[in-house]
Amino acid sequence: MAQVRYHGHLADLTGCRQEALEGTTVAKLLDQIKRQHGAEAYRLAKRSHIIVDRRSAGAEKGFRTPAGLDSLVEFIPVCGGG
Amino acid sequence: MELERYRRQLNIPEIGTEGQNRLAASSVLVVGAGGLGGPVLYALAGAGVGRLVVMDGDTVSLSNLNRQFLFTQADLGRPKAEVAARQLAAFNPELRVEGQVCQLDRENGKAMLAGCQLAVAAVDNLEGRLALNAVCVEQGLPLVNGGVEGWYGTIMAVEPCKTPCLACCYAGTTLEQSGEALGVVTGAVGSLMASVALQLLLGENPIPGELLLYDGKRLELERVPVERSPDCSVCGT
Repeated sequence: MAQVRYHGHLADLTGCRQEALEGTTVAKLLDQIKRQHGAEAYRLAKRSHIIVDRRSAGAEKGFRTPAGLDSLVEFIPVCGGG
Repeated sequence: MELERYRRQLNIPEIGTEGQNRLAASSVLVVGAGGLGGPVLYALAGAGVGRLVVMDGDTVSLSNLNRQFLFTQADLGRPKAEVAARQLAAFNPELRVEGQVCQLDRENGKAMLAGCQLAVAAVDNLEGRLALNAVCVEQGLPLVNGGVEGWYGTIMAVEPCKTPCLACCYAGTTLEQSGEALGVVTGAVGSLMASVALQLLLGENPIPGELLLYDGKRLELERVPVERSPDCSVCGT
């Protein structure tokens, strides 16, 4: 089980800051988020800045980035405004 | 330099006379003079950073005034960079403040950074941030990046080839902006950005290899460690 941490509004939508989820890739973790927390949480998680074990998933394999049993996956709001 | 102006900060051990002289001899490029750029610029000008280059191609609009406190109602329609330069010069006449009414791109970035020791990305779009990041990495100059979205904000300090750059972090990320921006959040995030900028000018990076998250709703700060991407198209080896 990967440890998943939610930041920003996603923590409100999921009702938790951290949980363990089944899934071997980011895509599979996103499926779990949809199943457990609904479509809105899934939509927000999918467009988050996703960091897997200290590396940005976008710079790795995107949604196909592997998430191991001991992985820590962070979902961070993308803050681009000023 | 009028030391009385800085009397309350000269006793701070990390500053002192030596640090104050260092700040006075420093030049900083701030790209974006809006909700984040305003508090960054005021804090750097107040602290005595000797030269500020303010770059913004936008004009002041009414919807800016909920958070962009460099401007007043009388400034509506005027170029932000010009108004900001005028305000800051009046705020601290000892400084050299240059307003550049244009958007940053890969072409003009190098010229704008000439003579600067640091850049600050306070723009409202990802493209602008990535363009400034690329120029800073190319020039080997540190960059402080900050952004907001509603109640939330993130801050990062890029030291080229030492810490992750913005491309390491934001590659493959699509930005769906809601346009939500609140003065209390931009003010807090802008002040944190200015604190990071001042410490970098004084020789310390307070958030090396970390993404600092500000949650203005819960009033929390969190640090998330981030590593460089070996395949980064901008800073990768």
